[in-house]
Amino acid sequence: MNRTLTLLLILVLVFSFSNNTKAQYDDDLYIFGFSQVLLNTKSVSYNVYESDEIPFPYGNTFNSTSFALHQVNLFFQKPINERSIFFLNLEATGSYSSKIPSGYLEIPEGWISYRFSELLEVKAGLLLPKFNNLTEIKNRLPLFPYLIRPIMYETLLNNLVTPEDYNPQNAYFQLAGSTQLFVNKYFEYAFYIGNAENSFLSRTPVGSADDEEAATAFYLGENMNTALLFGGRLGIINQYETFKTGVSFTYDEDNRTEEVTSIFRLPSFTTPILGEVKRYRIGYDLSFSLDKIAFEAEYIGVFHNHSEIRENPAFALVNLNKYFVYANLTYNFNDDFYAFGYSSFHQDQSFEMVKEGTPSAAGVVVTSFGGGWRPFENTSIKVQFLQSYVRDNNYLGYTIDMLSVGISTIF
Amino acid sequence: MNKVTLLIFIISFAVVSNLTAQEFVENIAVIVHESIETNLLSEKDLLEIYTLSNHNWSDENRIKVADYKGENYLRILFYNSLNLTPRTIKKLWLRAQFTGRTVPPKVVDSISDMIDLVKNNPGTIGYVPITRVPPEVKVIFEIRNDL
Repeated sequence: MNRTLTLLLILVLVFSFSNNTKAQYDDDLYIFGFSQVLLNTKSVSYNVYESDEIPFPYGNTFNSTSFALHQVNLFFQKPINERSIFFLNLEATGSYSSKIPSGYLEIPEGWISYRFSELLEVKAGLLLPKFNNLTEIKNRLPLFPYLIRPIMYETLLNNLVTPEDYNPQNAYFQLAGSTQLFVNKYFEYAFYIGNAENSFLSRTPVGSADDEEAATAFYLGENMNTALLFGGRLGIINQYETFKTGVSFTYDEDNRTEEVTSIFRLPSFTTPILGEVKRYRIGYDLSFSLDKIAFEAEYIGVFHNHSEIRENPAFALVNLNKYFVYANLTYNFNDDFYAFGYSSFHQDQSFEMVKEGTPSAAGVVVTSFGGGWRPFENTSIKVQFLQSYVRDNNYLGYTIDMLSVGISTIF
Repeated sequence: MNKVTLLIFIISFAVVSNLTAQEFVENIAVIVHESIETNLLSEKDLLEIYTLSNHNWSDENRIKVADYKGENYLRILFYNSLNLTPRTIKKLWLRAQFTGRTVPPKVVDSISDMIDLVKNNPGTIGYVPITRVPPEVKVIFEIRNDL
């Protein structure tokens, strides 16, 4: 309730300020955003197969049909001077309500930038770092042809994966820029630093007597790890942004100080406590448009330093490495109608389903296709079918079928 | 869009919006506020400005891009001359706007609104038919209409 009141107060103040300054184009506070509402009907089935550990197979199917205010984002942008901009992003997702409760309200970005030249722009504050093509725009739904994003970026599917294991979630300081290489081709770069993954942040009220972590934390959300995230991206882009490619990288630590529970880890459901594990991510992205076709693809490889863990004979076979691949093809029939299809595959080797006795192709497949219509400027009506299933697994069968229809509006 | 389709579109638009024949066949003037030091732009400069990859004038003032709302015939001619389509530019601007890279371009409804905006806001760049250029603004680029 308090959060809702605070949000309302912020909005009232911001809108009042905005109206007062509307006539002054120079110093305007720019307020814009988008919303996406959808109706989806889904069927989730799982089957646990008979094995040495599970003598009695079982399974079930669940069906649901639901409307949702998928996401609303409000952006506030204020030029501070000729080279500096302040930017704030307020995000509510999953039909946010503190009453039910449902969804969440978040400020995923709040930063100030200073552009020395095209070659160097500095950003300080909470920001979405440049990692592959999608991380920086992962919550900008109108930029995508689909309603439901690839699994690593989709908040509605967050209970199936832990995105922070694959992508850096935020950073606090970033240097970025671009320079012309040759006609219509620019080299771009970004380097950033931030906290290690979100699960290291203190989530227990300060002063809790029964929590060891809270005893040393000064505030909620404090990074309780000495390791920081370091990352960057090097790429090439053309002026119309119809061609873009790059390699990305990060270094941080994976939080394995708590048990991780997942249906994908069978038969034990939980991963062992392994401590803080050094982790490297490598990414590659490619996107281009050619006449009516738009293509985008990316790869994320996550590699861990297992040497310390494997000194313990009980964990000699532990492998935390994982990868994610995704590709989407969109065909624009004209300016108003389009169709798309995408597929992704990810494999987490810390799950039992890809361990000994399971085929090497085991992992989670997501396939989706659909289309969209722009009846007028700034509004798109989209329809999408999505299927996700576990491939080649001796323990578990898991299928999600989902049909969604939605409206995306920019304001 | 080929030239015949474009011509049909322009004529239809002109009929609907009561534009004069003179207005839709004339050249386009790219205009800026008179305080801008730059006197002449190259096509490359113009492209950099409208693709939002150049953010400041030579005198440090922030470049403020202005454009028309909807499927304005001037808009289509203007972007055709830069080998762009309104759809491409819209996509590019949305990404720039949503990532906070630059201030959002100002969108106006009419030629007179465009003239008022450029006239009253230092740093603003826009475009109008050449015969509508008022004395208070500076022309820094001219696009020939070959139709």
